[in-house]
Parts: sequence; C-alpha cells; structure tokens
Amino acid sequence: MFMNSNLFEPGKSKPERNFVQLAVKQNQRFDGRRSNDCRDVVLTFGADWGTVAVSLGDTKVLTHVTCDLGAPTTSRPNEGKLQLNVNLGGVAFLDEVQTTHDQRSLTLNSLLERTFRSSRCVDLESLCVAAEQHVWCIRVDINVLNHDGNLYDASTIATLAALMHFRRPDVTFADDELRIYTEKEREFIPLLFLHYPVSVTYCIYKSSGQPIVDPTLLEENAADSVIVLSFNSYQELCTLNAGGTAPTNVRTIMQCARNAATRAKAIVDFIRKALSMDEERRLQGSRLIQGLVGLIGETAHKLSFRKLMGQQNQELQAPINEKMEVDNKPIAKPEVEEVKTKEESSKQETDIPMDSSSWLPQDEDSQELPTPSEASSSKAGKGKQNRSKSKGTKKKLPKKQDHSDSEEEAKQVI
Amino acid sequence: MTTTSTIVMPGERITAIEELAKSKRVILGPGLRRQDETVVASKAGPLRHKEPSTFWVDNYQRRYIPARGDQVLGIVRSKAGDLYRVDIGAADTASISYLAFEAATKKNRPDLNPGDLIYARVLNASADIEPELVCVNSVGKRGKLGVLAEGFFFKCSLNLGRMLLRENCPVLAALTRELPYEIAVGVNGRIWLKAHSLRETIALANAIVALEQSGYAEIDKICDNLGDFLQA
Amino acid sequence: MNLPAKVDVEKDKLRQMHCEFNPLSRCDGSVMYSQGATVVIAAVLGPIEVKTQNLSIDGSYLECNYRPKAGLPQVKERIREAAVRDVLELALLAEAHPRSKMSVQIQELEDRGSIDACAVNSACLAMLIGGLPLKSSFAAVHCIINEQGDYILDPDQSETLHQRASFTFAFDSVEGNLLLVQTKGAFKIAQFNDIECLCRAASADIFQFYRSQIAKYHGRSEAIAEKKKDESSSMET
Repeated sequence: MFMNSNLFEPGKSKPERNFVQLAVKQNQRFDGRRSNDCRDVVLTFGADWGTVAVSLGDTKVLTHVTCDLGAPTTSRPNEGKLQLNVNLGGVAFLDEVQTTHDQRSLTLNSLLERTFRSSRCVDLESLCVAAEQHVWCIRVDINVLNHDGNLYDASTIATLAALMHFRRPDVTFADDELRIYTEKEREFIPLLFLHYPVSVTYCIYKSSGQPIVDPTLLEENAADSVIVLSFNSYQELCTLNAGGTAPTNVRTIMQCARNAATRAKAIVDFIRKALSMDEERRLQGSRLIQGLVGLIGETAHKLSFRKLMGQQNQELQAPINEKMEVDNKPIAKPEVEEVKTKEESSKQETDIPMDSSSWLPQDEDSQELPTPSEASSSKAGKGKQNRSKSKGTKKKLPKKQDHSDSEEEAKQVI
Repeated sequence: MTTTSTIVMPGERITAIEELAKSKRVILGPGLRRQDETVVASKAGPLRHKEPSTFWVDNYQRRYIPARGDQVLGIVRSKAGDLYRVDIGAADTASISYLAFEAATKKNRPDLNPGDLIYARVLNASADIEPELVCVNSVGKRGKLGVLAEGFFFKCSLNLGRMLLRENCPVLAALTRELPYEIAVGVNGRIWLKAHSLRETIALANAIVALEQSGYAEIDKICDNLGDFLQA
Repeated sequence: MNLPAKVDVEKDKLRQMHCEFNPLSRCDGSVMYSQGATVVIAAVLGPIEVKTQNLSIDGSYLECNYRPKAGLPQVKERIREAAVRDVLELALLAEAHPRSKMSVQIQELEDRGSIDACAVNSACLAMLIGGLPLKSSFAAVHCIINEQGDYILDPDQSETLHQRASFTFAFDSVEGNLLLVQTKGAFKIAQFNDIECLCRAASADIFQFYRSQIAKYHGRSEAIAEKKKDESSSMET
C-alpha cells in the first residue's frame, strides 16, 4: 500500500523541485511575488465571539475559541488555562498523507504552544475567578480547511485574531456560589493580553542565499529548510524554529528576523483594525452581522490585509488605539491598554536602532558566534519554561530584545 | 455534430437516448449508465452528444479514472521487483514494467528513480485491477512518451486537460504565437511545460491555469497579458 | 449575538441558500453551503485507495466524517455523521468503483439551526461537483412544530428554543422516496403527514437550487462546449 498516492502534493517530483530551486536562484516566484512579498491575508469574523476564518492565499484556517469554568492546576492555582487544539484532518485531508502528517502536526502544534502559551501572551491571572477553585479554561480549536503552504502563519494569525475577538461572560463568586451572567445581564469581557505574537515563515534553498517569505505548498515542499519566527507587536522574538538541511548564514537569519518583526507588527495592526471594523458593524445592529455566510462570494465581510492596510498606511497608528479604547467598555481593560500604548511608544524609541541596519551584525566574524547561541538559548529557555510549572510569580512583560536573559533569570528562580 | 447543453442530474432518465437506441447502437460514455431498458445519468453536468451516437456527461472532475489508451503523466513512486509503481492520480497506483521502454532489455534497464516524471500510455485499465502503463507504442518506439526531465509540472482539472487535448484546440495555437514551448498534457489533469527560459515557463503555466477560470472566451486576453508580461 | 429569526422569510419557505463550489484546492470536490446563517463546508475525495481492512471487492467503501466547530466530535456529532452516511450510502453508486474508498468530510462553520439538513445537502453538492457517481441526488429539509402548534420550515436557531417537535426528512430526486426520517418530541400522526408533505414540497426547491448552481458553474465554461471535442489524442507542439 502506498498511502500517499491519493492526494496530490506539489513538490514531490524531481522536475518540480529542480524548477523551484532554479526559480529561487533567479529570484522568480510562481505567483509573481518577490521574495519578500506576502500573500494577502483575509479575515472573516463569525457571528459568535471568537470565531475567525483566515485565508492566506489558498490556505484557509478556521479558529474557534470557547471557554468554560474548571479547576486550576495545583502548581498554578491562580491562573486560568489556555488550551490549543489543532485539527489537520477533516476537509483539508491532511491526515490522508500518513507519512508527513505526524511531522506536520507536531511542528504546528509545538509552534502554536510556544507562540501563545510559553510566551504568555494571554494574561492568565485575569482568568482566575477564585484561586485554587475556579478558573476559566480557554480552549482554541484550530481547524485547517485547506493547505496551500504556510500553515504556520495562517494558524497563528487565526489564533491571535480569534483570541482577540473572543469575549467571555462575566462571573461573580460569592458565598461559594458561582454566578455566570448572560450577555443581556452584563456585557461580555474580552481577554487581556500582555503582548500580541504572530509568526512569519521563511523558506531557504541551497541554490540561493535569498530566503522567501510566505511559501506556497509547492515552495514549502521543495524547500531545504523552513524558518518560523514569531514576533509580537513590540518586535520582540517569541519563537524561533529553524530546521532543515540548508546551511544558513547568520546574516540571513538576522535579515529574516528584521523583516519578520516589521511584518508581525503590520499584521497585528491589521487584526486590530479588522476587529474595530467588526465592532462597528456589531454596534450598528445585529442585522448586519452576517457571520461566516460572508465567506461565500465576494462580500464586504471579508477583511483583506491589502485593502485595509493599503489605504490607511499613514494614519494608522493613532486612530486605532483610540478605537481600541472606545471599544473596551468593560472593566479593567482600558487601563491595561493605556499601559500598553505607553509601553509601545517607549518601545518604539528603543526599537529604532534595532530596526535600522545596525541590528545586522556589521562585522560578521565578531558577531557571528554570540548571536546564534543567543537565539538557541532563548529557544531552549522557552522549552524549559514550558515544562517547569512551578514558577511562582508571573513574569512581567520581558523588556526589549534580551529575551533569553530574562528566561535565564526565570530558570534561576526555580 | 450537435452540441446540446442540457444539464442532467444523477438519477435523471434520458429518454432522447432511449429513443435513439431503439433504431441503432448507442455508445454511453462516462456519467451515463444503462438500467434495464432505461438510460440514467449518474453525474451532474451538461449532456454532450457526438455524431453518430455517442453520449456522455461532461461533468467537472478532478479525480482521474484510468481508461485504456489514455496518455497520462505520472510520478514514479518506487521500484518493486521488475515493476515501477507510478502515481497517476487515480485510486490505485499504476505499474509499468521496466521492459515497457524503448530499447529496454533485461540487461539494459531504464534508469528511473522515485520522483521522476514520465509520460505514458495506459495499456490496461479496469475497475478491478490496477492500471498498467507503457512508454512505447505497438512497434516498440517511444514516440512522445518517456521520461520528462526539467520543465515544470502542475495539476489542473480533468476538464482543462481534455480541453487542451482537443483537436484544433485554439489555446495552444494562440500561445504558440506568443512564444515557442513544449507541452505534455495528461488526461489525468497534469500538465508538463517547458519553454526557453524559466520566466517564460512560469508565464505560460499561469496563462494555462488562468484558463481554468475563464474558458476559451478570454484566450485572447490571456495571450495579451502573457505578451505584456514577457515584455515587461 | 442572536440573529433575527428568519429575516424576511415566511414560515413555510426555506431560508436563503447560497453555495460556492471548490473553495478548497486539495480535494476532488468541495462546497461551501449556507442556508440562512447556518454555514457548512463539505469536501469529497474519491475514488481513492482503501485500507485493506475496509476493502470490498464489489463496491466502494464510504467514509463520512462530521467535524464540529469546537472540540472533538461527541455523540451528537456522531449521530449526525451516521445520518449523513446512511443517506449517502443509499444514493451512492458504489458498484462503479470497487476496491476503492469515497471519503466525505463535513466541517461545521456556523450552526444556526437545521444543521442536520445542511450537512446532508452540502454532502450532496460536494458529491455532484466532485464527479462521484450517484444513483440520484438527495435533499434534506428540517421542520419544527413550535409552541403555538405552527409548522416552521427550516427554522433559525432562535426559533427552535421552544419547540414541541422537530423533523428532518431526506428525499431522493428520482422517485421522491424517503431516505431519512428523524423526529424528536411529541406529535400526532396527522401532523407528521402534513410536515412530510411540506418538506417534500420544499425539497423540490432544493433540487432546483442544485440544478441551477451546477448549470451556473458549467455555464462559466460553456464557451468551451461550442468547440469540437476529442478526448483521446495527445498533442505536443
């Protein structure tokens, strides 16, 4: 039995692989993009809170967030839970391809875990109702609908957008009695975030030093190595996943990282903007909420990155933050938001040198050694942090780029 | 030649064919079947008729069902004894004997490896046995068949493949006016292309894929676009 | 976030249907189908290679999976899945492709009532566009009896909260045979008969919708049909 003969996977034949290698060498891509061009991202919000369909070219992902009350773990009695579930089967038929399935689902799972759980992007302490008794368990279901390359970015964008879109019911705990309010009684509460991570994927080929961003399935299957970098909107690295057989220059990785940071920031801005548009629609009246019916055909409910960000590239920053604050009627949120905006502005100042080319090691020989070790140590630190649950105090938002250092500190505390 | 474009749905009885069948032999193609004395459709799509008496349903399809005599593009999956297993996009993997190549003998085996792309003819096909391929014609010459090196290869719907393979297909002729190229179209909905440069190959492939959406009507527009792209 | 109940639609009419063919690139046929605010996506793959344990020499093996939007399939989803499979098994021309597998996957995108009927209808459309051989097409209709004793065809979720009984019928397109009957709640046999008639009438609309959508999809490439057709020769330039 040759179980993977049923599904057509581009990039499995020699001519295709050779062709892609050659194309990359000549700086050509099949869909006419340049090596640093991404495909358009389209968001569609469902009628329920926390339902988002994301399409990245032909790659389509549906994410749905649900919550219920549960008991916390003994090691973290005052924190809620965040659970991520990836589903590759179903209409994407990714489970038919038995041999590559395991690899794919493992990589995707670990990427999402590290990007969203280990980086502690959701403020889990705010999800605690009564310490050691009741906490909110947030469950994210990521259903892959179609795979045309770069599932990583599509999934992280979908997950972040769904988490940001999600509202949980208000709850009070008094006299050993839990009371959950319906939406009519009290308005639903959005989740609190410490930062907003999004991944960016690069493919590297042996034939060329130039990495290509946002690969299609053909490009991904023919690639020698794939690098996934998760950055948050403050341009801090959250996850780095590099593998494969192509020997990669540190310079290349740094270049990828720099572009990825900018891209991640743009994506987060886009999600915010899309959310505020969805919010406006909801305020205008429930009749306008079409939900996922909007996915069929060309409708205004599809929010496209190019359209949204193309128009408002200049006047983007200010109005959005304002809108965000207007939107966040529920308690506590505006405060955090303010803190964040302050932080963001201060961060931007510090980020400026990082953003310019000085971030790239100018003297390759002297810089080359420490940088990869830093990257790898941050990765290792992440992994360990994930496993060690005994960390008592919640770590505040890590400042600037010295991620790995703060991780080390965390380990020493343990 | 008449073209009818009535849409038939599965289960629909087609009385026109039954009438015709009373007087002469009728050939039922894909999507039609005989049920006792009636002719019934089993797929949804426009009913086609070719003189004198061939009928079939021209439904949209991506999955290939092997049929004898079809020329297909396949990817070699593995070697198994004196056979190669070839993925042709059908339910079963097809097999091709290493003797089914031009000038191949027991001593002189063709050098095929997993991942190679071959253009072959279906020798045997039936629902109950795995399809068998050959890369030679009846007199042992390879003709157009054989291994396709280089070039680019992609998948499309079976309808597009069949359309390109039609006699006097205006598409390929129109594209020839723009630039020279080599093409191998498999009825299994796979197309192999090679032009002088990589850029031209990409442009051609995109032009052909664009046809899937638009059909013949826009072939001129697509050719214009192609010309513009190549000049740019 | 409740949608208004069946906006602008009478009680004895189906909600607005929409569909988009082949939104997914990996499978042989796929459809995104909506009835009112309920949206499902169905994809088929077939005929494909079958595992030895499921192999049958005189017919194809049918695999049918339904996936909810959140969480793993529970009993409710399994029942739905079984209902769709039963209908499909009746309609599929299994003997056309022995020793093979037909795989149907249905993904719920949004459930706003009549999800059972939508799952069945989307499966039918996916089979039609995937070119899988069928004995006949089929359509399912959902109907409820509300508190006042009125019949509501294809209700929105908000209307199903206070229902006395709910019915789902599936019909084939040729003889109008009943392929599936699912009932819940208490009702009189006369009501059952009334609702069956109501649903049967509504199924005609759905068959009409299938036909028009398929015609529309093929009309797109109708210009092709004008030209000559020869399938067997190959060509190299």
